[in-house]
Amino acid sequence: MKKRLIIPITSLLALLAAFGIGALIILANGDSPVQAYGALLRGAFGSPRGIASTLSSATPLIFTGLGVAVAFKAGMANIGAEGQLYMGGMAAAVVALFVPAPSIILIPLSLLAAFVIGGLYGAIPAVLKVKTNTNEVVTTLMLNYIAKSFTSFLVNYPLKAPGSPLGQTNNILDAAKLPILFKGSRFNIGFIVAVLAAVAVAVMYRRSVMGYEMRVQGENKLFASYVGIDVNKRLTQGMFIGGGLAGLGGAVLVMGIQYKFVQGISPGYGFDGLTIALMAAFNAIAVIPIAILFGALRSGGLTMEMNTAVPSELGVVIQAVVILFMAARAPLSKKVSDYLDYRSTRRETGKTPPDPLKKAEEGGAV
Amino acid sequence: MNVLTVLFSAATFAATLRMAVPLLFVALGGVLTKRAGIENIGLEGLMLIGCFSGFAANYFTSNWIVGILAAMAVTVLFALLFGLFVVQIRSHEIVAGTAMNVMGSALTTYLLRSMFGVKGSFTDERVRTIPNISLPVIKDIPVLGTVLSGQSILFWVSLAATAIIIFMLYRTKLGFYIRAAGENEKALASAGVNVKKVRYIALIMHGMLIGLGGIYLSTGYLTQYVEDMTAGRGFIAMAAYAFGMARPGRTFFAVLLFAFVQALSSRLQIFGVPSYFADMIPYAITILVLAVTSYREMKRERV
Amino acid sequence: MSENIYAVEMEDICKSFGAVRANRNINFRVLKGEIHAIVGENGAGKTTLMNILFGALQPTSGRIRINGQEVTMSSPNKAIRLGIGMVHQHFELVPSFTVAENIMLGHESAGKFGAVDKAEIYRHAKELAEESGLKIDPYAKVGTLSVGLRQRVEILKALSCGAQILILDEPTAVLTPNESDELFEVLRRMSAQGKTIILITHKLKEVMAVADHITVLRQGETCGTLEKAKTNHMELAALMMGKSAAFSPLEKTGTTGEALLRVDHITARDSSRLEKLKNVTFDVHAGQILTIAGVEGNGQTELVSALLGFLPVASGSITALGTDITKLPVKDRRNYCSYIPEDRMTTGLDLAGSVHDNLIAGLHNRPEWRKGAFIDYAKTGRHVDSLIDAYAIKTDGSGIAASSLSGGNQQKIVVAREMNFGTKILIVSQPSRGVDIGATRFIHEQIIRMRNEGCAILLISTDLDEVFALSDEIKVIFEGSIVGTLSPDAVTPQELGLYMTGAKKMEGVSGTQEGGAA
Repeated sequence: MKKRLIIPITSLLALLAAFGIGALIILANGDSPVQAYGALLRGAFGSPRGIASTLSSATPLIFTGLGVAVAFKAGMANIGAEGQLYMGGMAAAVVALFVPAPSIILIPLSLLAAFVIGGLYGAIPAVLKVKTNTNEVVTTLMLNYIAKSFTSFLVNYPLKAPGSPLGQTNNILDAAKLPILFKGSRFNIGFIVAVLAAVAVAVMYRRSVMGYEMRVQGENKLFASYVGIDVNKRLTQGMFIGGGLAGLGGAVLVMGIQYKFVQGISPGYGFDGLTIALMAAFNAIAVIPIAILFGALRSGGLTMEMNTAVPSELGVVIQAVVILFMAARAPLSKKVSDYLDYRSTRRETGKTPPDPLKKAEEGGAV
Repeated sequence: MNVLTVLFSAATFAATLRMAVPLLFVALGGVLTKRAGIENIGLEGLMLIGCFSGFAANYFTSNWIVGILAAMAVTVLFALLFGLFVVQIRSHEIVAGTAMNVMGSALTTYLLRSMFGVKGSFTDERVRTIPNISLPVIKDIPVLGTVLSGQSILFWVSLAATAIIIFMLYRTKLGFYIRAAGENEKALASAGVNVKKVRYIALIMHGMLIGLGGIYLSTGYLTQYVEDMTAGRGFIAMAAYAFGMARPGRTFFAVLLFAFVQALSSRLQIFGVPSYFADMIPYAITILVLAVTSYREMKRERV
Repeated sequence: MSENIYAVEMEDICKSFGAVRANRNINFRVLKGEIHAIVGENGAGKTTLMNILFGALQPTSGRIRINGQEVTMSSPNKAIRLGIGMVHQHFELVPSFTVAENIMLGHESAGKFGAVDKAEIYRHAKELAEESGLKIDPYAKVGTLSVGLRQRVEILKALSCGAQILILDEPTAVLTPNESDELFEVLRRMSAQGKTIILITHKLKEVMAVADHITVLRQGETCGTLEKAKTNHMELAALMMGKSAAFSPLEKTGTTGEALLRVDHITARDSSRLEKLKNVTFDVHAGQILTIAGVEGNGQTELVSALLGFLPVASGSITALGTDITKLPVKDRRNYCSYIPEDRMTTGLDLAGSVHDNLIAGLHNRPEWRKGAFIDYAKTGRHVDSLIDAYAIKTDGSGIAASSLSGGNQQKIVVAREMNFGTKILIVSQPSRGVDIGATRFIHEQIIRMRNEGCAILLISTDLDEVFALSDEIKVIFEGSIVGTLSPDAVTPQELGLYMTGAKKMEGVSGTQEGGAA
């Protein structure tokens, strides 16, 4: 199937183009792209330690990527993963700070709290959409900032670590810290939980009744309602699960990396999740390698900065370019795919499909 | 008693206007694209780009006018880049907008470090502040003088911009085309008007306005560039025009309201009241207003 | 007016879309100042032809002459310059603009600072409305106008561009009967003023009412141009449908059994509280095809919605297989009723979903197809494969998206799913709408097969031929009431037509009077 290759090929092209533009920026800065990228690659994958750091950076990204993917599949343009991450992370922090229990209970409990609170926070725009038909794009976006302000308030006032100059909580209980998988790094079992979550999402969408109904109503609400699917319920559930997964992203930051909730804990993981989900075409399993790639850009960026004069932010610049190309990918590959359809499909209804290549010109006549 | 007099003092109103200026520019920019049928969630990123590029140009030339022009020009370039993807290629506007946000933050931080070798914040004597205007007679009137006199030139520019945009949108051909492009682009295309061109013109004005909003932060309000110094103002501006239903007049009042809340909250901090709740207010009431209006529209459509 | 002044001449027009030939050697001429109708079934190539004339599509080959001059219609703007205007089925208006602002969009004259001269706009719009006799308030916001008035604005828009030749694409599809009559009045007046009008439609009644000449298209070819005075309904219908459309219903086997679906005096209101169903009562028996015949928009949509559970009934009851389902949610009702919707591409299919997922929709949540929270994919997979075989659905496996199948095979998916839903009641809406004759025949045969197997079938149709070909019993719906119960053997199409248009009612039917008060 030629058409199946469109998504991977265009994703790869977008990535290459982004690195190309990154190389130009490096050159403009008077540095060598080969050296810089070499350092980035070495830093990200060149040593066990580097790999561990890449995977630990990737862990929250897998969660936010999954969260966005699940919500989009359920038909909700969820731009609120960032806020859901903050709320989930805060919930995990509260449990991990105050519930004296052994790890075997405390860790699952903290994660559960993150999932539920992140999920409930994600369900708000879904309920608004279902009950009042409010566009989720603006509401999810606005809720990000409400979550940021709210958690900032908590870490600066009621939960503030005494004597700390920064807005942050005390360290969480040791029992709540996620066990480390590679000594000398913060690579922890959160990664395994993330991979399991991806598998669970994949199974849910491919095998379960709930996943089936969520998917179908996300694709065609009218059809779904005619075959007896409770569209509103499934949509809300999709946003709840999506929000919950993003919330887990916050939990692994708190319990696996920071060991406390710090004001502004996420440098935009929620928005990265959007890019990752898009690149993965909302496929849960594909989220994993793409999140790892993004993790590599973050962790390798630091090595690059230490060994060359190129600031680590270049990684983020490259990401931005990737996002931009991703935005172009869908319409461009749709044109390619339409064209393949147009050539190969015989329409039996006699309905004449408009020439897909011409259609693109519409609206711009003269 | 004491609290109230501090809160509702002339200084608070003056601060309100100062805080309103960048929001107003950016929100008006959002109004234009929204009316032309483009939702740009990348206001924050574009604003940051304007903020940085104008500051840098000002630094190299020691001329605040060059700074303003550079901020506008560079922001227009990025707005057109956004337009290239959204108007030309018809990319998902949410994704392209997100790219603008990420790009704005990353690029400015990257350039701050590679150009000036600085992390965090940067200030230099070479950078000229955009002058304030002292009003001859009014400045001696007790309250009015404190509020209106001594505001930046850009404050007056923002008021003029509001008036111009209202006139442009509702009275001129271009305004008709912009509104038609947003409401029913087919109607416009079938009238023989090039929809893409109209949208690009809207995006150019969008970029100019956002550039003005950005430059006000780094060389108007303060004379200092701080990493990510827009601090969510792009999103508050978005909330303001969403609240204002993309009507310039209503958006103007939404901006004043939000700015007043901000000014009030920074005053309240004097009394130890945390500002975080005030920070949430613009977003929360926007969600509320959107929900109520969407609900009404839904009801109306059903009938 | 001389016989040989043609406003439009299209010669040997061919248009192919890939392998599909939408227009084949079409010849089409329109006299100056006449009303010329183009009729044909959906997919006959009417809209394609008109889009070619309007410059929106380029013909693969062929010539166009406007007022005797050969032209290349490179774009709609070119067509507009040549005095051609088109009123699309979907209006291209800006709701928040006033009537005059819409009419003048793109042609405003600007004064100081580029400000639009509003006085000029309104003066022009008023003049235009008076000249053409299309009464409308130029200050009204288009968003507040009725559909009929919006159409007027569209026509005025075309006229303001100097249109001498006006193309209307299915103009009455969205109009009430009164509005349609008014439109025809306007068209006649415009034609009297020397404007040439081309009307695309598939409603023969309208054609006979308003057209001077009629060109019939069938499967992309011209079947001839007729003079209205020298033709009739029957001839037109025969031309439109061709021989292949002469239905040959399968023999009825088996007998009519007990009533499986009982609709008992149901009344329902839409969201604006208008009564859309008034005291509707009927039974559908096992082995019977009961047809609800009627002109579109007389409550058919609401009836289906009420039966399936989308529209709550205000009074009355619905009983399926002896169970009262009046209050059941959609999901549970689907255990009783299969439904083939009229709009199969959007209501009947999830085009983005796989063939498999489309074929199991509705079954997926029944206990026998599940294993706990999971769908029994081994079982559904076998079911899907057998359906693909049985209905000869041409697909590259069941995992590919339904959208990548051809239209005919997509239709088969809907039919295959709904006819194997395991229910004894089947509701079918407009089975022949939007499909070619082959697909229509296929669906008709399946409906009859189901009937012969003892299912109760409720057919909703506006197509007289279909009604006669399939029905065992006909109920005529008019303004939300059943106004007649007829036997297809004992009624003529003309008589049925009288019932459908409300000109005739059965004794004792008082629904309209009662309902009229509400």
